[in-house]
Amino acid sequence: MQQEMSIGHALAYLAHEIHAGRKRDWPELNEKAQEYVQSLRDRWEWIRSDQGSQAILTGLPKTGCQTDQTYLNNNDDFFVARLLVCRDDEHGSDFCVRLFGHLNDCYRCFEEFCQVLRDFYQMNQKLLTRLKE
Amino acid sequence: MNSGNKPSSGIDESVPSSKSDDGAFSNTPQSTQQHGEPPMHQFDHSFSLKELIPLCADPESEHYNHAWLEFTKRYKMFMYKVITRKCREFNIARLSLDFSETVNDIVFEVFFKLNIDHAKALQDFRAVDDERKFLAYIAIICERMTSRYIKKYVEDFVITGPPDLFRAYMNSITPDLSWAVYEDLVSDLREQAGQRKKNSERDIHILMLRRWAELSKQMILMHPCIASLSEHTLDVVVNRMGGPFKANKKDELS
Repeated sequence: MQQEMSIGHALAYLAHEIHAGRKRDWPELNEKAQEYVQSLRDRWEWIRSDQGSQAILTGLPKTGCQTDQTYLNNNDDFFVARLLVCRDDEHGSDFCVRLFGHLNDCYRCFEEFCQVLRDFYQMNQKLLTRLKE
Repeated sequence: MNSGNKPSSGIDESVPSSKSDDGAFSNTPQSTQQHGEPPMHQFDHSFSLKELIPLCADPESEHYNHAWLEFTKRYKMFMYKVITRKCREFNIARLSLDFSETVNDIVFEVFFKLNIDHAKALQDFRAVDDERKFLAYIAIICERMTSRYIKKYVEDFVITGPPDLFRAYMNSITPDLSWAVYEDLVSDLREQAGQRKKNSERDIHILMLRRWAELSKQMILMHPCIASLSEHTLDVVVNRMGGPFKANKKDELS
């Protein structure tokens, strides 16, 4: 889905809604961005089911991506699953070990992952500050 | 091979070599032949590649010095061009390396590589009737040696250099080169981790998040697979992983 908002930013908005336990109107977001956040919420609902998360988490390549279309590129489901759903994995779990290995092997996925994390954190901080005001 | 800073062509330039009027080289008697080699007077023309390589490979040969002189005359400028171009791609000035000194050092290392073990690197080349293929072969050697030489400075820059300068450097080189540098660094970190397998991939990843991507510790702790660690642990991991690089730098300076 083409959108102006990055996945990291959108996930930060969704994370705040999930934490608040309700949907919110974000007046600073245009219609397209709001639709995107809503679509991520729909994905989050599906991924919360066991089947949803398992399907995503087992798709991670064991080595670096071999094609131009890397695993994490535009992979909203992965980031919804990892940043919002499956946050409680211990760092020694099989999936985490595989994730570390893949990101060490795949420069493009590493860069993508870092950008999402960066955006997610920065927007999260912004929203927290705004909520405190 | 000569030692020292000046690039060496493997030639003992103290040995005089002069031509007589008929074009023959007079420092070697024409009647002297060793190992079935053609007499010297046949070398008043340019060697073919096929002639040149075996002569460069045999230090016992009386034509050895002349062969290396010819090799240098023919290929040195080409090697300089390839290495200079590669150094520009790496933007080595941003790594605080002196450009011409670095290029000279690498040219020296390439000649050394071509010369050692009876010029094994030259003898390994098979298509001796094809000058173009030989130039491509030399170019690959030059590029690899350049990458290997510069890589250690880049890695050191990643681990120990000021973060803003590192990011500026990475923005100044092509994405493909960034990719290659990333892979090399991870490979070296894995080699360094060695037998200590437990958590090694995690630790490498943490180091790259912190030093390569310059994520803050708070950002890193939003990572679902790292969230259970503390900021102190992140510091310990980064210092431990970067330790050997800092030790190497200390060795080089001492």
